[in-house]
Amino acid sequence: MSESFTEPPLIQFESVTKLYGNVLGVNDISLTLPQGAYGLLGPNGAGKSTLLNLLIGQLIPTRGTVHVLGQNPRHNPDLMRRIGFCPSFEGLYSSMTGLNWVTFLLELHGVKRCQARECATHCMNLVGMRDGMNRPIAAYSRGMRQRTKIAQAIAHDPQLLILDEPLSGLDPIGRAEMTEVLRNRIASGGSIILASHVLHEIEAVTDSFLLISGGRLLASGTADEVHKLLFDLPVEVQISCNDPQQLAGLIMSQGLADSVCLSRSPSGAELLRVATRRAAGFSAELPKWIAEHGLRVDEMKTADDSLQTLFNSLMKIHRGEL
Amino acid sequence: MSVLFATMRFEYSRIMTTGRITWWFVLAGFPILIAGLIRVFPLANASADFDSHFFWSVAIYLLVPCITCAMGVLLSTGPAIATELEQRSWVYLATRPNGIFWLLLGKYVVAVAWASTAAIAGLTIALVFTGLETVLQIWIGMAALSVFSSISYAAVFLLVGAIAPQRAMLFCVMWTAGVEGFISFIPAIINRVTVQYRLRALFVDWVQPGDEVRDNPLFAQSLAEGPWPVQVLWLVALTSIFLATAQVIAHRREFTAAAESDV
Repeated sequence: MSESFTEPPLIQFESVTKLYGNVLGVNDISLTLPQGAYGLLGPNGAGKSTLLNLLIGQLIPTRGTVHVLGQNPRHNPDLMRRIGFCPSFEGLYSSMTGLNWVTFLLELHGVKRCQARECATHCMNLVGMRDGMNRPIAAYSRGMRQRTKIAQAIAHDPQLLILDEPLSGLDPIGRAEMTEVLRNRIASGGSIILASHVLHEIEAVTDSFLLISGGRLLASGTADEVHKLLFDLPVEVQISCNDPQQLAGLIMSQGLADSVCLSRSPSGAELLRVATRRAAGFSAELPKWIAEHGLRVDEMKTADDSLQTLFNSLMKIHRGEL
Repeated sequence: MSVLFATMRFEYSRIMTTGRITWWFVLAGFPILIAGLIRVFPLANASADFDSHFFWSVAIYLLVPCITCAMGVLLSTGPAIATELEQRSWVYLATRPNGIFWLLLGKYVVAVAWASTAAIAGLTIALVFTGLETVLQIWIGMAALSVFSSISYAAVFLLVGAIAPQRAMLFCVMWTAGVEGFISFIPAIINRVTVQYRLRALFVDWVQPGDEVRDNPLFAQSLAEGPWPVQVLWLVALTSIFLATAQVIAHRREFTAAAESDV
């Protein structure tokens, strides 16, 4: 992701570390991202929320510097006009109507009341809250609250949208609709940072992602770029056949596998998991063994191109398992 | 300025709940209730030269500008930051241009208006029970004192709430008892920076309860010297300092948007 910029980078982290007492939030992250859409991926407790709080200036780095759109986000009203933030938690005023809440937040941007109301109405319509916008938030379902949160984040048309688990609590239709809203923003030139621990949520919006765990940035780039980093890693093949023990013995005797593991599927069938760095040789030899020994292979799965596979591999590297 | 009005309008719409309206009536009713009880059950040991003007002036001063106003703003401005943090709405406001500044200022102004109106409503009816002839003079003086008391104490409690948001109410009560209740009576330089020290001087000047106040050894050493404009300037200065400090603290502290469990 290194390229020359004619405009300030979207975000720039220089050796950023954030400590909560003795607890590490993020650990020595250095990163420069051009404008665009990125998924921030990591398990719970990985440091996603800390990273987002550093981006919006709510946290001060213990070490290092953070710049967003070329500016320090701490106490920066100018930058706050260009950022929209949707936190993972609710924090909505239950006695207010969704429309009044979004209108008020727009007024805090200095927008005149009538214009703010008009804009808030448009945004509530955009997120599918046409029917519920005039009801108190206390009467909202979780999905409606999530939509309202997204509405307040996009209402002032920010250049950068920072979203923390924006699709949680939404039903499948809601997810599809909100994903479409986010895609449209990206298509119209907006930048997005979307944090989630659900891979397909990010994949549905963007193919560029940052993977963090334990406060460290494990990888960044597109899925293809990260795959290139992983070409030397063992490929895992999962085989379901009539005699997995015999097949395991054959594979090991030929020295084509780094590891072989027998396990049971949820249906009770025995599965053979093979990790190999010589995927080509393995693929060439396997049909011969099947033919020579009369084995019947019911199913064979290899690592696919989903982010889940990348995530699993990177997590294993991070833990020192690969 | 429109942002301040928007924040005030928003705060008003939020506090227009049954609970908060009930509290307003409880606050307004407090001096009325006490004054009514005094009227119904007169002091048993009152002497023949009992000065009812002095008595009622001091009683109303304690009931309205001291207790009602302080209690009113304490309920609103003490937990101003804590409530936003607890219900996790802080980050929505903190990510707006100067959002925290306007939020605190809006809450402050609304709290002052809320407490002042309750105090003045209570004062108006409580004075009926006094049976004094100089009711109008007392009302004008006490109403002005109520406004100044609300303005000053709201700033004090906003500051205490910014310093200790997690135990805001407790620290506000401790501050009121320790600083305003005790230190303000200590005849030393420290009592000059208390709100109560200035309010007492304004009370004596505007309500003119009688010479008994200055003759009283407790009050004599703890009344500010100088004309009332000086005392008002002191209050304005103290209020400005408290408000500015509260704003600085709220801006400088890290009030995390994430829960403790969210890293």
